[in-house]
Amino acid sequence: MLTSDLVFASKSGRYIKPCFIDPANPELLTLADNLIMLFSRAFEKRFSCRQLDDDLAPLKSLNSKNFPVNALIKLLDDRVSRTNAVPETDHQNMRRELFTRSAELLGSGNFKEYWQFINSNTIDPYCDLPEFDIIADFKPVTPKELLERYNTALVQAILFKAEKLTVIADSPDQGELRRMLKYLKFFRLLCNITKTPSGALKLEISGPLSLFGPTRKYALNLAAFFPAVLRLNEWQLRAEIKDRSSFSILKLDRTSNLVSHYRHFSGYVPEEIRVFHRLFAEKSELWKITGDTPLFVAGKGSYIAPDISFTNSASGKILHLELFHRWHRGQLEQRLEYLERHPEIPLIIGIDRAICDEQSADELAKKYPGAMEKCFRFRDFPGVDTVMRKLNSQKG
Amino acid sequence: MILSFHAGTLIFSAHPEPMPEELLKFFTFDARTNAFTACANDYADIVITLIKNKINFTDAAKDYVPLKINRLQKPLQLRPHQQEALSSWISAGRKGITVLPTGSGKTILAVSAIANTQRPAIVLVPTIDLLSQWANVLENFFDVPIGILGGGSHTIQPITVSTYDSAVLNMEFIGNKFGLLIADECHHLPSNEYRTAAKMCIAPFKLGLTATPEMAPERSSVLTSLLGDIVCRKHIDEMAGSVLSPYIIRTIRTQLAPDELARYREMRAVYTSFIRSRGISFDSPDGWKNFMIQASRSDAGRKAFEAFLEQREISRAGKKKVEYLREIFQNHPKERTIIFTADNATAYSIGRKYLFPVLTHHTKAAERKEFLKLFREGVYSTLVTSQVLNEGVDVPEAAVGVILSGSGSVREHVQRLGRILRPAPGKKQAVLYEIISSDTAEESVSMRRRDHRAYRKKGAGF
Repeated sequence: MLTSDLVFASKSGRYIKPCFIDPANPELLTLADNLIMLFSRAFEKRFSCRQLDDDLAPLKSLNSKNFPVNALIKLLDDRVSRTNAVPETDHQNMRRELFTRSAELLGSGNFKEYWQFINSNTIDPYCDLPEFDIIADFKPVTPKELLERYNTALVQAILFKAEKLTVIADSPDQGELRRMLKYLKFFRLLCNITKTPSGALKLEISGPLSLFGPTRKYALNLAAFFPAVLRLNEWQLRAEIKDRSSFSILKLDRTSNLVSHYRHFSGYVPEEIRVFHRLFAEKSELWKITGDTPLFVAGKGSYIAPDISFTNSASGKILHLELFHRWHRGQLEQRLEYLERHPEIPLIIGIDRAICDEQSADELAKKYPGAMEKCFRFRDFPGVDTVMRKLNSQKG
Repeated sequence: MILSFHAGTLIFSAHPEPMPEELLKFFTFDARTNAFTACANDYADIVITLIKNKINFTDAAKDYVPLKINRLQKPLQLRPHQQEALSSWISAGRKGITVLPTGSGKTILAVSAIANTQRPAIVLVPTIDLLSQWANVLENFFDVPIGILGGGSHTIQPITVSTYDSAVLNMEFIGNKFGLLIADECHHLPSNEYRTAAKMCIAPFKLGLTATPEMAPERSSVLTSLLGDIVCRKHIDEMAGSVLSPYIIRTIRTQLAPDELARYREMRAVYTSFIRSRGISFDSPDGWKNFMIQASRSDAGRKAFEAFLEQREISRAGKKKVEYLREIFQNHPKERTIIFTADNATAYSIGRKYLFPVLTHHTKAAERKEFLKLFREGVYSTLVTSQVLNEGVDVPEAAVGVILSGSGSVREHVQRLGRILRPAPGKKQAVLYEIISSDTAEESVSMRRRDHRAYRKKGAGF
C-alpha cells in the first residue's frame, strides 16, 4: 500500500485525478526492471536494508509524478521480508552491560573515568536497528505487473480517505455479481443495490456505521475491496474523498485501464471450510457438496449468495446453505423475512449463536415460523452432523 | 421485539409496525439491511426510552453481566482531589471527563471508578507502553485476569485494556461486552478514526482522563458527545508542591558553532525564499501541505525541502547543545534524567555518544520493559527518547527532564514536563531544562510551546 506522501494526483475543480503511468512505457519498464534487479540482488547477496537503501539512493533523486521511483520502491519493499543481521548475538545483554557500566561511572561522580569509558568504546550499541536488518526474502514480480500494481495502489491510497464508493456495473453476469458480493462479504462491507434507468446495477458501498454520517472507519476495507471492482467487464466508480477541509470526487471507469491483482479469490479456502468439506465427504453418502453455487435475486435490489450447495444423490434435489456469522447480523432478519414470503427458495440457513441466543431464536420463530424451520444455529462454524440433519429434514 | 448488537450498531428487529414514535430519534431505517439501526453508543438512552414508554423488548445487545468486585487485592486510599473527581463523575451519572495533571493519579481514579461501577470495563490507551502499564496496575488491584488488545495480544476479559488502534478494529465485535468505557489520554478520542471506537461501544458509563484537554471546538464537541462534559479539573501549578513535585524550568540558550551557523543561514535562505516566492503561509491550516505539494513539483521545490530538513536538523542538534548535556550530568549526577529529542536519529546519536539506553518505537517490548525497570531501580540514571515517553508512562523517579528538541506543541511540552512531576520518596524538586539554539527558528518554536499556565507559574525559573 502507498502512504499519502507517495501519492501523485492533481485536482481539476472538484475532481481528483490520480497521475497514472503507462505500464507499457519503455522508460518506466526499464526503471521497474532496474528496481526489481536491485531488490533481487539485495536478497541474493543478503544485503542489509541500509545497503539496499544506498543502492536505491541515486534512483530516488529522480522521483517525479511521471517517474514515481519512491512509490515503486515502497511497493517492492512490501514484498520483502527482513531478518535480524546477527540473530545469534544477544544485543540486549550487550547493551545492558554497556549501559550499566556507563551509569555506574556517571553516578559515582567519576566523570574523568566516564568520559574515558565512553570515548574508548568501539561497540555500536544500536547495531540491530531495522536499518541493519538483512533482506531475507523477496517475492518476485515482473516490471509490467509492478507498474500496473502502482496504478491500482495509487487509487487505493486515495480511497484511504473515502467514506463510501458507488460502483455502476453494466450488465454483469451472475458469476461477476456473485464474486462482487463475496468480496463485499469478505471485506465486511454493506451495499445498497438499485437499477439505473439504463438497466445497469448501482452499488452504493459503505459500512454499518456509515448510516449515521460520514466516517472513514471503512476506508481501508473500501480500498482493499477496490481491485475486486476491476474484475467487472464494464464498470464506473465514484468516491467522495475528504481530506481535512477539502472535498473532492474520484471518478474512474473501465477506460482507466487498471488491472486487478486479485486473481485467485476463489482459490482461497479458509481452513474451517476445507475441514468441513473433507468431513462432509467422509460422513455423508446421501448428500454431496457441489462445486457451483448460484445467485438468487431476493427483491429490493438484493441478492442471496449461498456459501455451499448440496445435491441429494438419490433424488437429485439441490439445497443451498447460507451462513450468518457475527458480522452478518444486520442481514439476517431481511433474509428471514424474504424466505417467509418465498418458501420455494431451496435454502437452509446457519446462524452463529453469537448473534442469536435462545431467547432471540424464540422471538424470531414467532415472527418467521416458516423461515426459522430452515434454520439451525452453530458456534463459530457449523458441524457436519447438524448440517446433514437440517438437509434431511427439508421436505419436498 | 429484539434489540441486538451488530457490527458496532444496534438493530431493532421483530418490532411492531409502525416503529414506535419515541424510538425514531435514535433509529434510522437502513435500506441495505432492511432493519432499523442505531448507533451503539446510544444504547443507554434507548433502553431508558423503552422502559419509560413501557415497551417490552428482549435485550440481546448487552453481552455482559455486572462484575462482582467484593474487595480489591490492594487497599485503595483516594487522595482528596481524586475523591473529589470520583464524586463529581458519579454525580454526573458516571459520565464525563476528568482533567488532572500527569502524576496526580488518574489510573487510581480509574480503578476506583471500575470498583464503584461494578461493570466490565474497557480502558483505551494511546500506546503499547501504556497498555502494559495499565494492565500491570489493574492486575495489582483486581483479582481477575486482565484482557489485552494490542501489541500482538488479543485476549478479551471483563476488564480489558486496548490501544485506540486495536479498539477501532475490534469494537465492532466486542462493543457490547462492556458497561464502562474509560478513555485514557482522551484528547486522542475525537480523531476521525478513534471516535468510531467509542461510537461502536454500548457502555452506558464513560470516563475520560486527560491532562491536556485543549483542542479545536469541533473536536471538543465530539469529545463531549462521546464521553460527557468535563466534571472535574485541576491544574499543574495548583498541585505542584503538594500532590505533585515542586518544579523549576531552566531555559538554556546555546550558540551554533560558526560552521553550523553559516550552513544554517544558507539553508534557511534557500527554504524561506522558496516559501515566499510561492506565497506559502504556515499560519493557514493547509500551509504545511501546500509546502509539500509545491516542493514535489520542481527541482527548486525539492531543494527547498532538503534545505528545510537540514536547517532544522542543525538547530535541533547543534554541537554545543549536545555538549551542554555534560554540564547537566555533572550538576545532577545522582538524579534520574530523561532526555527528550524531536526525532529518533538525534536520540540514537546521543545514546551512542554517551552510552545511554534509548527508547523509541524500534525498541522491542521486552527491552523497553527492562529499560524502564532498570531506570526505576536506579541502575540506569538516564533515558533518551524521542516521542515514546511523552505520554502516560509512569517513571516517578525521574527528577530531571532535558528538552533537547521538540515541536511547537503546547500539549507535547506539558506532557514532557508531566513526566518529571510525579512525587517519589527523596525527590525534592524537579528540574526541566529546555535547550534551544539561539538565533534560530527554535526560539519561536520554544515561545509557542511554552504558552501554557504551567510555564507562567511564578518561579518557573525563566
